[in-house]
This record gives sequence, C-alpha cells and structure tokens, in this order.
Amino acid sequence: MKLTRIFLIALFMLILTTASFAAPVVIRFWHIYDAGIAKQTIDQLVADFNKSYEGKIQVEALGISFWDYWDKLRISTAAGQEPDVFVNDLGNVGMRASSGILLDLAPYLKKAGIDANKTFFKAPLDMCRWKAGIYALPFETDIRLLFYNKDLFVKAGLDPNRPPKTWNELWQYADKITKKDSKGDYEVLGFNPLYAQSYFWMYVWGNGGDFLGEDGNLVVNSPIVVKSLTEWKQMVDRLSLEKIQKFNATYPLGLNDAFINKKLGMVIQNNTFFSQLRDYAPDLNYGAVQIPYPVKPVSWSNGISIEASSRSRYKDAAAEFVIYLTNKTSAHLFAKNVTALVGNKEAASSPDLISNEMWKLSVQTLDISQFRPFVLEYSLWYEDLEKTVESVLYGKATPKKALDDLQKMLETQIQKYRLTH
Amino acid sequence: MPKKPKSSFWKRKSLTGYLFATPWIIGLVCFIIGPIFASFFLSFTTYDGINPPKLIGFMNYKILFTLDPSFWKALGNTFYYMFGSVFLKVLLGLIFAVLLNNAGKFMGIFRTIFFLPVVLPAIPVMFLWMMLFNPSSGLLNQFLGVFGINGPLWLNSPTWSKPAFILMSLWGIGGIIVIFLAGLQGISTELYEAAELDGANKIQLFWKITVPMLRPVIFFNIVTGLIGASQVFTEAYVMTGGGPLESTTFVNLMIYKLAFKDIQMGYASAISVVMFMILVPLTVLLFRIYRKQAEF
Amino acid sequence: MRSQKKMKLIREIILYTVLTLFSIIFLIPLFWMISTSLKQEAQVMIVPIQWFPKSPQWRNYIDAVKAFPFFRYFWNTSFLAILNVVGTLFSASLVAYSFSKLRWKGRNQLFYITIATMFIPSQVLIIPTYLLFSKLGWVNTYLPLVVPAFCGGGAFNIFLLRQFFVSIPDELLEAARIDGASEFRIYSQIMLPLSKPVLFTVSIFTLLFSWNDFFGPLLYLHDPTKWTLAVGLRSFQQQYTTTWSLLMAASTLTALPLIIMYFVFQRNITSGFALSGSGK
Repeated sequence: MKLTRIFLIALFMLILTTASFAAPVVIRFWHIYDAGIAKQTIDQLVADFNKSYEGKIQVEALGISFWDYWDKLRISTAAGQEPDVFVNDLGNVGMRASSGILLDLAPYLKKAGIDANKTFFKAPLDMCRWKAGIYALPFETDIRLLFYNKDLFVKAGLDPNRPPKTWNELWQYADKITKKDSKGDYEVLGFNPLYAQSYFWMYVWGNGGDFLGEDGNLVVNSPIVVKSLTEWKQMVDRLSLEKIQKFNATYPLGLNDAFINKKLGMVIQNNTFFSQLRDYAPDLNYGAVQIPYPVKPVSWSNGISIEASSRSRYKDAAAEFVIYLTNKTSAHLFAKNVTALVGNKEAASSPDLISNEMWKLSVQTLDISQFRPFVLEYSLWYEDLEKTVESVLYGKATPKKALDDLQKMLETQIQKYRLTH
Repeated sequence: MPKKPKSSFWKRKSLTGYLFATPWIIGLVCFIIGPIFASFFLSFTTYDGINPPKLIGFMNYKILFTLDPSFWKALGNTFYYMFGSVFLKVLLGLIFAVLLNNAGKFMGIFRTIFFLPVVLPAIPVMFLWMMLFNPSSGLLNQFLGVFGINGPLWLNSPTWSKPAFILMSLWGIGGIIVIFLAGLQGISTELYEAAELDGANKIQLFWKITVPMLRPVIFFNIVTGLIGASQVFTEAYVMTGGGPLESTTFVNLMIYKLAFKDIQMGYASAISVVMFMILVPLTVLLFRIYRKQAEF
Repeated sequence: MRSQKKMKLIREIILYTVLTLFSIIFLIPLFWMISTSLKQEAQVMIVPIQWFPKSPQWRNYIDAVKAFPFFRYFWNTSFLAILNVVGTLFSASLVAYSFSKLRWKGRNQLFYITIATMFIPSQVLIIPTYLLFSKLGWVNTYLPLVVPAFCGGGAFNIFLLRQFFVSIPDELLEAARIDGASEFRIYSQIMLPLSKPVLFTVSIFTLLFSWNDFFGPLLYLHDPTKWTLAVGLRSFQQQYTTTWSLLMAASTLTALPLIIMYFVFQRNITSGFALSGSGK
C-alpha cells in the first residue's frame, strides 16, 4: 500500500518534470500583415512552423497594421519589450545593428549551411550587412514602375503599345491626356510628379547623379542634384503646385486612387500596385514599364526585413524562425499568394512565377534598382531631403540655396550624432 | 498629565490625515515631481532606450540652441496656435456669453447647441474636420465658393494649416461660453441698471462692468487655456503629421517624434525642459500682471 | 417711449437672428457627419454637395462595425473609463477630505503644491513617466492608464472636491466624531452622501477625458486587441483613408454614447463645467 503510493508519487513527479522539460520555447513574432491574403499566408506559415517544431518551439504571431506598426515596435523596443522576432524596415538595418539590439544571424546561417549570397538578391541582402555580420534577412523588397492607362492613351490619340521611354516623351504624352475643367482644376492629369511613389531621388539617379561623395559621405548639393531639383520644380510649376495639391487631396491613395479612378494617365507605383489594380479595378486596361529616364534607367527599392532581438531569451529558436520565414518554400508561398517581390532569389525566380510577364518585369527591374544610401549618423536624412524639395516647390528658396542649407543641416546632424555617441 | 491624551489624539489624527492623503502623495511623487527631476537629468544624457543613458553635459542644450532651427520653428508654431486659439476663444466666448445672457428663455436651447461639440470625442471630430477642410469637395470651400471666393488649401497649405486648426478649436468654444455665462449671471443687474441710468450704452457697459467683473474668470481661462494649448499634439498627429512644410510641427509633436520615433530620449527631454522653462515663468508672469492689475 | 420699444424689438430680432445663425453653423458639422455616414461612398466627395443622402445606406453602420473590431474597442474603452471613474472618485475624494477636514503638518503647503501642479506643462512628464512604466513592465497593459487615477486622480479633481468639502460645516462631522466614529466612516457615511453633485461632476469629467484620451493608449497599448476606440479609429482611418462613409459611421457610433449622456445629464454637465472653469 505504502509502496504503491510512493510509486504513484514518483510517477507523478516524473511526468511533471518531463512535461516541464518538454514545454516548448515560446517566441513572439510581430509583423505588418494584419489583413487579407497576406495575413492568411503568414498565419499558415506560422502554423506550419509550429507543427513541425511541436513541443520545441511555439511562435506567437501578432499582426499590427502597417500604419501603426513602426511606432509600436520602436516604442516597445525602447521599453525593452520588443518581440523575439519582428519585421522591420530594410532601409536602416544598420542603425539597429549598431545599437546592439539585433542578433547577428551569420553564424546561424552558417550552421544551417545556407549561402546567403546565393539565396538572396544582392541589393536587399547588402542592406542587412553590418560590419562582418548579417543582422537581418530580406523578406520582401520592391521596385517602382510606370503604370499607364491604355484607354486614356487611345482617347488622347496615342499608341497604347508605345509607352514613354524618356521624361520628355512622358511630358509630351501627358500634355495630350491632361484635361481641365472650367475652373482650371484638373479633371484628368497625364502625369503627376507628386503622386503615389514618384520620388525626387529616383529622378536624381535617372539623371546619373547620386547622394554620396567620393569619400562615401553624404552629399546632397552636388551640381547634378541642383540641376535635377531645378528641373523637378519646372515640371511641378508647369502644372501649378496648388492645382496638383488640390488634385492630390481629391484623390488620396487607396480606393479613391486617381489612377484606379481613371483620372491619371500615368503613375509611378511600386509592384504591389498590381494586386491593388487586380482587386479594385479589374476592368482597367493598363500597361506597366520601367520608369522613363533622362540619362540612365533606374528604379528605387526598399523593403521589409526580418530581424531577431539580441535580447531574446531564446536566440536559437528566434534565428531558426527567421531562417524558416525566408527560406525558399516560405518565400515562394508568400510570393505566390501576395504577389510580393520576396528577397529570396531562388523563390522569386521559380518558373511558375517568372512565367508571368509582370513578375518577370519586376524581377528584371531589381537589377537596375537601388536603395537609398544608408547613413548611420542620420538614417532619416531623406526625410529632410523631401522637406527641402517641398520648400523649393513652394518657392521658399532656390534649389541651390535650399540644397546648400540642407547639406549644412545634414552635416550638423551627423556632427550631433558624433557628439552624443 | 492632562496634555498627553490630547497630543496622542492629535498624533492619531495627524496620522489619519497623512493616510488619507497617501494616494496623492504617491501620485505627486511618482507622476509629477519625480518625472520633472528625471527630465532634467535625462536632458544631460544621450539615451536610445537600448543602451543605458550616458551623461554628455550640456551638449543637448548646445545643439538645441546653436544647431537645430527646427525647434524654434516648432516653438513658433506652438505659440502661434496657443495665442491665436486662446485669444479668439476668450474674446468670442465672452461675446457669445453676453449674447446668450440676453436671450431670455431661449438661453437654454442655445447653450445646449453651443456646448454640444465640447462633449464629442476628439478623434471623430478631427476626421470630420479633415472632410470639411478638403480643398475641393469640403463643405468650407464649397461655402466660400458660393460667394465666389476660391478657398485656400487649408490643411495642405503652409499658411492656412494653423488657422485651420484654430478654426477647428473654435468649434469647442461652448465650454468657455458656459463658464462666462455662469460668471455673468453672478453679476447683479443693479450694477447695469445704475450705469444705464448714467447714460452708458451697451458697449460701454460691456467694457466698464462686464469685463472687470469677470476679470478673475477671464484670467483663469487665459492661463489654463494657454497651458492646455501648449500641449497641442493629437490634431497635428492625426490630421497633418506636422506638415506641410513643418507648419504644424508643434513642440509636443516634435518631442513625441524625437522620443518615440527616433528614440533620442535625452535630446527630447532637453526640449521638454526648455519648454518647461519657458512656460512656467510665463505663467508666473501672467499671475504677477494679474495681481498688479487687481490692486487697482 | 414707442421708439424705445421699437429699438428693443429690433435689437431682439438681431440678437436672435445672430444666435440662430451661429447655432446652425455649429450644428452643420455634426449634421454632415451623420449625413456622410449614410451616403454611398461615391456620393461623398461629389460636387455640388448632397445635403441628404439619396437613399440612406444603413448598411454602412454594419460594414463599419465589421471592418474593425468596434465592439471590442468599445468594451475596452468603457472598461478603462469605468476604472478611471472609480479610481478618481475614491482616491480624489479621500485626498480632498484630508485636505479639507483633517489637520496635519504640512497640509497647506502640500495643497499649494497641488494647485501649482495644475499649471505644469505636462510635456516635461511624458518621457520619464513612460520610462517608469516601462521599467515596471507595465507597457502594453492597462496599468499606466489606470493606476494614476487611483493615485489621487489629478490635482484638478482634488481641488474641485476640496472646495466643495470645505463648504460643508464641520459641526456635522464633529457630532459623529464625538460618537466615536472613525474618520473613514465619517468620510464615507457623511461626507460622500452630502457631496453627490460634485462627485457626479468629477465622474463626468473623468469619463469624458478617459473616453477621449488618445496619447495614453497610443503610447502604452501595442497589442491591437487592447486598443481603445480613439486609437482603433485612428488605425481604421489610416487603412481606409478614403472610405469616408464608413469612417463617419464609425465616428458617429463612437460619439453616440457621449451625445446621449450629454442630453440626459445636460444640466449637470454644463453647470459642472462652469464651476470647474471659474477658478474659484
């Protein structure tokens, strides 16, 4: 009697201890895919992972909408409560890597026998490097293209199969498409340089310029940038800034997008616009080509990285999950379902995807596309560039003066960083 | 020994007093006095929320005063809004309160209507005004269009964005009307009657009796109004994001962006301290001016 | 005499015209909100304006509620508001009682400090308070939005209650004291029942403030399931920037409880507001 009791207790203890040993490691994963097919795909990927690691690793995923996500992630990081794994901005991985918050994934990649150079597209992968390490993996990247409305082309007497190749052509076409109402407001615009994904830095690159000096320092007031800004202002002035803004306020992006509502002949958008057009305007007769250029063909890329926190209690599990999310199978599923340009080269180039013309165009465009240069001391420098461009468009300063001022300001910011770090 | 019981009684009583005040003493120390000192401390550090704060002396202040024009712009924006909205609110609030005070038995209805926007939740109200301010289809420009006026771009214009915010804040003028109205009803009618007998007209009555009698209330509302308006944040965060051309980047939005977007907690604290050093003396000064005037 | 009567009549006509005109101006935005919430999206931005929706789209309300977790946010907001009201009523009245009816060393000094805090620009408190809560591990919980209410509920409410308590004669309390009642008993059995109107005012203000609070939830709540209506609506707007009809439907639903409350308790609210703004 006594023996059985002891035995039972021992058995119970044994079960208890094995159960506690076998309790899976729980890691938290935050992402921006909180709705629609993207959410379903991520949920499925997480479920598959949890299934294959049952008893070992359990991932708790939390989707927060794109607009709220960034602040939430940054604020919780500052509170020391960031999740183990999170998606983030591919454009400034170095900033976080330098602060010591990110886990170096290079050793884990090595252990898993993955050659990052072969697996991922070069430009996005380069954004993940910091010193000798790899502190993130590229989940999604993107490119910008020129979308044009074929019906509006025909209406304006243009050949719908001959999209513009240069900015001069673009404006010639645009002028034929543009229509004004009695008050002088735009009813239909041929092209709007301040709409959607049309950014000044792409125009600078197209002019053959860039934002880095010979010594690798940030230079925003080189003659080519000044010239580009002068031309940029001329383009806006032709249409009148006020009228453009009125147009933009009438057609905010999304459902009321001007291109979707056939009020805009040509628009620069990123590749996710394909799926928006599919969903919101299935009957729209459009084409897409690489962005016209004055000197050299370019596009702009940015993207979403997946990162693991260096403060995570379960670094191995976190790294495991990061690698899983960016492997060929996962990336392929995500690319197929969401039509997002995944950073995994092997997945993006798989035959079933590349057979789609538009997909092929996107992947090809990646070759000519570039990222904004990353500046550790002031990673948000381009926001100030945008503000400067805005002030020039408002006529507050000449391009030369405004860019000179900006250069001084950026140097100050860089100095400020150095003074406080 | 007749004194002993009394002193212990008072001791006990004193203890109860402290006990009852304990929640507030904790709150005061943890959420007000402590944070003020902490802000001063943080303003001498650089702190990214990840690595521990590092003391850097007056560097943040040096940068703030010599290298960062955007702070002065934000400060200018904030003062523009503070004084614009408070001045108009107090002036118009006073006028409407006087009008309502003369409205007899209909006063209640008008008061109900004017006060209604005050209880509406802030975020929906902002969405609503974003619609009203739309340059082409918004109600405001449509209305101006009736008179052949080509309305401005409002929130999309660097010149009109702050006036737009002030205009929106005037929709909430009902609060101040109600306060002034209560003050007006406390003024005895005999004063007016006596002055009227002396041949004073309505406008003279307003300046000679109404305003002086309401002076404490007016003053109190100016001071609290200014401090309240100096914290303008949500409007800019939700409606403009600080633009266009930084015309609606107010100090609090700047602090929020610096502290919780760029995670420069030290620098953001320095800005909050400077703001503190501007507003507290301003409040004290206003009190002094008021006291001096009240003496006459 | 007659001309004076005429003058008075003219003056009254002008007065009522002006007031009516402005009343209409004040009501138009609200009307516009409701009108837009019942329109088809295509009619919203139309020029010239449609004052009344052609065929009221009641469906918009169903769609809006489905498009984001409205009821969850509604519950969260109510939950926070109730906790704030309870916390403030309890702690602010306790403290106010101490400030008005108990005598202790340093009482008056502390009261002056309390009044002074009403004039402190709160931006100086944001960062350290955030760091405090994050060190406590309270970020992404409701604690940062609730605990301060239980710690006195803010200088303003204490001040308001204290002024009221002072006006209640001490004799009422002394009688109970002689009978040997404890202070807490006197506070809860005598003071609070006598102070119902001012307690009501404090409740309404706390409720309004909590319902409208945007900055607190924005800063402290990360998990979307914990959000309140204010931040939830903001997120909804970001995602559906241009679906004005749905946004206005959701906005109307958010405003509705407050509008109802206003019409039910109108007298208390306006008089409470007047009292609070008089600075006495």
